[in-house]
Amino acid sequence: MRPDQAINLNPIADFLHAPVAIDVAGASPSNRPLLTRGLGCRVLDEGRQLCVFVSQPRSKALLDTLQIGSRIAAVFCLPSTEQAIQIKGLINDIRPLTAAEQETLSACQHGFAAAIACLGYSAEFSANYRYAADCVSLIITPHDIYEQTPGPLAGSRLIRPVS
Amino acid sequence: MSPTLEALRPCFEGAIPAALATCATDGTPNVAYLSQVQYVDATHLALTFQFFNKTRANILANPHASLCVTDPFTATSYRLAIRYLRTETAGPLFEVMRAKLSGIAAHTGMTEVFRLLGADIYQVLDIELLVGPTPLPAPPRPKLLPLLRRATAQLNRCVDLDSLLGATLNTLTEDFGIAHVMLLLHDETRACLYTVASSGYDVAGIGSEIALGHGVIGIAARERTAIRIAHMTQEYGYGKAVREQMERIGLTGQLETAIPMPGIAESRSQMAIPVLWAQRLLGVIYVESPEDLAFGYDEEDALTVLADHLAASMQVLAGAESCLDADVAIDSPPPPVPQDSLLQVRHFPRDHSVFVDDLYLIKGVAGAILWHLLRCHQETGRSQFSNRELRLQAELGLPEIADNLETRLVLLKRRLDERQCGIRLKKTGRGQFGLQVDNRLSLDDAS
Repeated sequence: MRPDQAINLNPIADFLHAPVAIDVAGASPSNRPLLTRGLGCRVLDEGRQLCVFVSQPRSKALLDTLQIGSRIAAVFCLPSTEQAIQIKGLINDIRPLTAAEQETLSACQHGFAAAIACLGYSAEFSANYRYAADCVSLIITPHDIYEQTPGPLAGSRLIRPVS
Repeated sequence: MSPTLEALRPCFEGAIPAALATCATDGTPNVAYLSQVQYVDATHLALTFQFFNKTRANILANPHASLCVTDPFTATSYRLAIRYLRTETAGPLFEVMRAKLSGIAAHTGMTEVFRLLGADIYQVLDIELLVGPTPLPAPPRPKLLPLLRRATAQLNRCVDLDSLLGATLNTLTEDFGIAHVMLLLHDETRACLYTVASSGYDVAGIGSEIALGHGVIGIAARERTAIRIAHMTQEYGYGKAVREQMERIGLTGQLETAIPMPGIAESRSQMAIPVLWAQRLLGVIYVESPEDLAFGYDEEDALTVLADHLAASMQVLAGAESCLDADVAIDSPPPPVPQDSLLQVRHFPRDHSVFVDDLYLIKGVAGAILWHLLRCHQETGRSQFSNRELRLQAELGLPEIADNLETRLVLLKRRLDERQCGIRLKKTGRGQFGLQVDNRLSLDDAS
């Protein structure tokens, strides 16, 4: 992937900003997949960047491996419908949350708790499921977007990179 | 210390989707959600293979994967390092996962989408408990070991097959609190299972049959493995299974469909446990519930132990019955028969089907036994018989299976009790039983 292959996330920003479940994966130098749970996200830079929040204590192996330019994949799934999208890209930065991002994280957590409350899960369950202690922001430059809703079309590309 | 895989089994009931990360050979990761994670043993899991997609391509090239699962009650999450070993496309594990997937698919409205192509077996290399707040309390569950102890004690007290089946039914309903239970025995010669006892249904359905491989019961029997479904599925329901049997040319008439199979209309949880002795199928314990997720891995374990104990008890009792068969039954004077009513019994030798007052009663070996007893009763006035003399009757067509006669007598007795047609069987001693006929008989051999 080259930097000029970056794509714009604006067409799917509303979906990403909905109360989605998020799972994020990278890989070790020996190609062992490393998985963690995302706790919220925000489209940045007019759709050219994506910020995903993860908890450091829960993501140690992944964070120890990631560096600028590392490949990363993240799935975003609406619990109520199981509609899902996968974004693949490169790590552009890993940094502490800004004050604004901290507010965004809180909003994401509340939104997700409300969304799964409709499915019968308590606020305490949601707080455990998306444990948000000591978070960092993964700044991702997206390069591919895939359909990930369960079914035969899962894995098909939704938006092709700009060549 | 790492958690054990057994401790994670509540995570595998499918309530919270599991996330699976794989990695291509160029280092590009991929994440997918799984509809099902199946516990195999203390060090292995199986995941569903449904589509040829990125996950599939990745694990074939690079077998390492990372799996994140969550306990749906406590919210405790775990991350597992796993390694792909192989794919199974047939056999017990495949059928267990296919049945479970069918329930999940129906539950999520994706019956036409979810089709299991294979069961991918993974070795679990490491389990990591993800840090977080204090886990939520798990819901209270019955302690299954004391229940099992009580259940096996009940079974141990039984002295014949009839009381053994009754005790099994009783302990499942009373001790385990399962409202809908069926016990079925295996007819090896006809490759089917027939109902000998049931509880919780409008009709007991004694004598109703289902073929091996049909419905959740038939598949559990054919594969010699427990099948557990947590969500309603039409695919594995009785009605559909029986209808399919009827529709199949060549099967019509082989299975008894005159006796309707019991079952609840809205069965949302089903579990069928084979009763096995030295890998020989003796029968199936079937339980169901109108609630989703009524039975978990622990209940499956407990009922499997109970089924094993039932199998061992059946073998012991069958051996004891054979050894203690009386040579000649000592007859007692038959009870006076009212002379003002007539019971018409018709027998069709082709399949030994027996009709009482033009209503179907039973057929096969049990039908042949009944016809033999009724003829003896009418010709000689006898009402006492022995198992041994029946074993020596070639016309009954008893297969050379030690417990076949005993099971057929139990079936016949229970079917007669259910029909209340004026004919009854009653055990009168070891290897002996009495025939009670309330009316005068008119026997018609429709050959």
